[in-house]
Amino acid sequence: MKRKVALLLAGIMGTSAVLGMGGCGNKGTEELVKKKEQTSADTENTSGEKTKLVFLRSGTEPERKAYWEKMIAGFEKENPNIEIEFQECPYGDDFETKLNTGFASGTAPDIINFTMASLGTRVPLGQYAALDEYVDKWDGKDDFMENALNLGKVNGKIYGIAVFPDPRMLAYNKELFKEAGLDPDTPPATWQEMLEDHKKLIKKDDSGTVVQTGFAMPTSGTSMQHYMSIFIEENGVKNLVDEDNNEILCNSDKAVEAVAFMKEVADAGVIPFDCSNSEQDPFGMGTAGMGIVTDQTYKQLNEGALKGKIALASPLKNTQQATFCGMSFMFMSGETKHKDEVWKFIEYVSSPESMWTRYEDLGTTPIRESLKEKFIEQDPETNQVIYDSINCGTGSPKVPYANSVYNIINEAMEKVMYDVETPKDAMDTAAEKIQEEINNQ
Amino acid sequence: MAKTSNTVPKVRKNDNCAYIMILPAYLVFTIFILVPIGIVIYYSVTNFNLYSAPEFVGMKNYLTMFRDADFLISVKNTLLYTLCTLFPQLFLGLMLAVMLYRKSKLIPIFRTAFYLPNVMSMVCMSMVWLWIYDPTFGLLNSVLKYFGFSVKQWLQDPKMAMFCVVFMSIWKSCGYSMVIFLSGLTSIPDSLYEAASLDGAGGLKKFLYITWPMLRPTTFFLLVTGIVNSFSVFEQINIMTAGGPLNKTTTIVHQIYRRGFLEFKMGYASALSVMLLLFSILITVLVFRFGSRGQDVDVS
Amino acid sequence: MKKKKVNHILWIIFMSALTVFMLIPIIMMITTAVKPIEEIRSAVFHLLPQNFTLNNFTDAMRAGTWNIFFRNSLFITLAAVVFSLLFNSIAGYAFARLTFRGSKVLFMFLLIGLMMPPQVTMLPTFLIMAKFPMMGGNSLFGAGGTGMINTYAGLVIPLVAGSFGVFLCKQFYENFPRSLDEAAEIDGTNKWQTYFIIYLPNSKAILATLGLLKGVSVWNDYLWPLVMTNSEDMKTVQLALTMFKTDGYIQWGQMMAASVLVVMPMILLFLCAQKYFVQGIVTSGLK
Repeated sequence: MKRKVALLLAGIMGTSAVLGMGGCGNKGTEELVKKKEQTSADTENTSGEKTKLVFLRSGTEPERKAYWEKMIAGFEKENPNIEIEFQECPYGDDFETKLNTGFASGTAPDIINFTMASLGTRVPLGQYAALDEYVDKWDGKDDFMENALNLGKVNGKIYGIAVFPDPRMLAYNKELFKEAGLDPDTPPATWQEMLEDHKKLIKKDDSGTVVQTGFAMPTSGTSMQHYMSIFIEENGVKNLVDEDNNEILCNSDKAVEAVAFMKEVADAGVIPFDCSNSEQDPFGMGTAGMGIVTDQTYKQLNEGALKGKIALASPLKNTQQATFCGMSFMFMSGETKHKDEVWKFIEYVSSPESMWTRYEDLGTTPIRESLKEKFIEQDPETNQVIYDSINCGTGSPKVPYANSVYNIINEAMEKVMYDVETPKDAMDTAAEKIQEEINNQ
Repeated sequence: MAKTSNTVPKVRKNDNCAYIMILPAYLVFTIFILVPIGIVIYYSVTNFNLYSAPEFVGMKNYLTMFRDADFLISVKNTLLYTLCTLFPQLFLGLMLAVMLYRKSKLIPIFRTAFYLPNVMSMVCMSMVWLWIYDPTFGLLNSVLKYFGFSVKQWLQDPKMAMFCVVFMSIWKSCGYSMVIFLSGLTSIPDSLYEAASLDGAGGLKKFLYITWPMLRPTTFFLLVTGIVNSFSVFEQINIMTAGGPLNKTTTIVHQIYRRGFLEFKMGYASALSVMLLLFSILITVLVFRFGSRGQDVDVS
Repeated sequence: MKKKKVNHILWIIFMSALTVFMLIPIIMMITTAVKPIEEIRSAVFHLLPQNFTLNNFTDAMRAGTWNIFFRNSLFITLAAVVFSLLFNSIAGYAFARLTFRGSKVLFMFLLIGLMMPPQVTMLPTFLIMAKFPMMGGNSLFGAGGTGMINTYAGLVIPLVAGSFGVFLCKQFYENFPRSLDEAAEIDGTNKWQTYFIIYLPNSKAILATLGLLKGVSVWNDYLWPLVMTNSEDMKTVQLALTMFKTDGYIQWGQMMAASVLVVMPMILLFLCAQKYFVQGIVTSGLK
């Protein structure tokens, strides 16, 4: 009986594997067929028939949805022969899954709004189309913030046009500063000052548990790499990995120094939190004097529980003023049959008018030079910091193995924070693992 | 008469209508489970990256697995999770079911209360538990403080994180075991208990000699599905700890998901899935072997 | 007799305490839903709201077309439950009571379905749906269109597959007294009649249990609708709940308010199903 079952199992596994292969084998030929259709579709385009584009954006919040619907309505009015189908999907892993299934089955959307990190992973797969031929002819090219345009480049080619910048900035709680006897109008500007303020802000209860901290330093979680990026960039390191030549920088002396500083801050006394759940951030809870925020979270905190109590500070400096700046882009699918129409929509969304609507409706920082003054005028103190942070911000390394890098760095940072390894050892191990990923490419 | 046909296999007849009866269920099963598993097996010997055409790489993925420290940790964690979740959950479920199998007007209220956690979506409940475990404002630490104990870091503590997830999972699923046990209890004839009462057997004796043996098929069912479910734990891990701190809570499916969908190593992720499947089959066969002695469910 | 009464009171006290303990997280969820935003994010934690408000409910419901989301979820759940109950119970009966060649192996095989986590088979299943022949503009070989993506059929059919249900029904039917079959055999009914006339009417307990479990799992399913649906008119309630979650910020009040409403149909389902739990076959059917 045992043998019979084993045999049967083997048999079924075998047949299902063959069945499976048959199912996939089809895909190859289908793609050929599709490519052919694509060329014929391009020629048919002029016949005045309505072109239908699918646009998938990341996120599901109603405010942004309303904004996109407004954009689509405006665009369709200007281009009556183009119809845009709006789709949305939650941020993060869910969005990756959605795109993966779409591209794997040949049903990917034509226009995609997604993060900078995806540039590294999806451009090498050919899922995003290069936009240079369009950008070269585009009159908005010179007006666009240079750093924002550069962040959309991979190997010198432009693949994405920036929409929502996501700069990481230092914010501080004026009220807690006052309580600790610090000047609420002079936030720290250097690491040393930050560490001093941090120590002064720490409060412990009778049992020695930290109940209020200075800088909200996370001890675990999936965005430890963002925090590390901020500190190593402030210390003059270009990025975790140099995307131009695959040089690993996360274990360079300057980087290790930055990690050691982070550890020093943590050892002085922090409320441990998991940065994968930014809801737990002590800064947002009002139990930390300083923390890292994005322009969106700053706005939300400033309108919510911490109303009027918080302010933004310029990025800290050890050797240079720098920070981490995420960004979401408009991408053109590498599979789309209607490149011209897709570009038209991206151009429409990137126009000064659309950008200003974005600021008015959602508070998104405009990233065109012509809108800079108008933007800063609205709230000189805060908006200058936001604009500068975007201008000097560096993003995630745009390499095909980016998601592995994050994972490895997060693990290494946790080892440092939980005293399992020294910063030097942890970063060396991380560098080794990243090297392995590079070799596997 | 029907009985003899069952006990003496020599004169066994073949009920051909059975094939038609299982056809609908089997058809859907084949198309949507068997064939996908076949595809996964095929991917597992390729370097499929979710987009380009897969290339055959032989057993490379299977060999890589044994050098992958994260994966090996995840296997350990998954086994720990299974052991710590399954048995308490079965025990609690059985106790609740037995305590609720009586006549009282309050029964529906209690039953609903115990089952309620199971009805809630895992995503929503994981977030509520994040609050409970929060080191600063969390309910748990507030209670500890109130009684003068020192506070704990819960999910941020590498030694404790897994048990926090385990506790939440037991809370969520003991109602499920309770319901299945309840439906098992209904199939025990009252006459058995009546006879036992006449013989003067007490509550404990009745439980040991009637309830427990009669519930064996149910327990067996819960054991098999419970093991398999625990092996594929993912959602609460992904939300509450994302595998951390220090990889203390990463599980096999968490690794599969991360490798496949976030790092685009679908070939490798598929190999991990096949290993998980083989391992589940092995455990299930063992459970069938040892767990169903002297019963109808015997398959050997 | 007196001792019995004391026991009963002790039982009530014990069970009540346990109930409160089990319900703490759910109570937290409900109280959050009726707290104003300042209170939710305040540093001092109160279990009960200081200022009661229902704004979260009205705001949450106004934020999307919830009638459509509820309609979709209800329809998908209902369809999946009805079909899986029918398919699974009849297959369970066949495996439990009929003798046919290969039954044990076929059954063992079915169990493999329990062992594959849905995250693993999701991509291949999705490919099958996208390439399904003659659906959604697809040709006979599955090329050209979008298959069953973004259709109710695509959402429901894979969920009908239920190794779990077959297994559960088989275990249940095995406990049925053999005398039932013998009586049926004497009456000369065939197997189909035996199932529909004797077994099915006596399966209320198991059908209620299975229907409940299936209903809850389909209702709470997130991953499959996420990849299968594209448009707003096809969204399910679980997908809709993500609208309260932005990149780094969660609108707790509205999220919890909507969650409370979303779980209501399942609680109703449980209340309807639970009265059958005690009406088992033997207690009601044979006496």
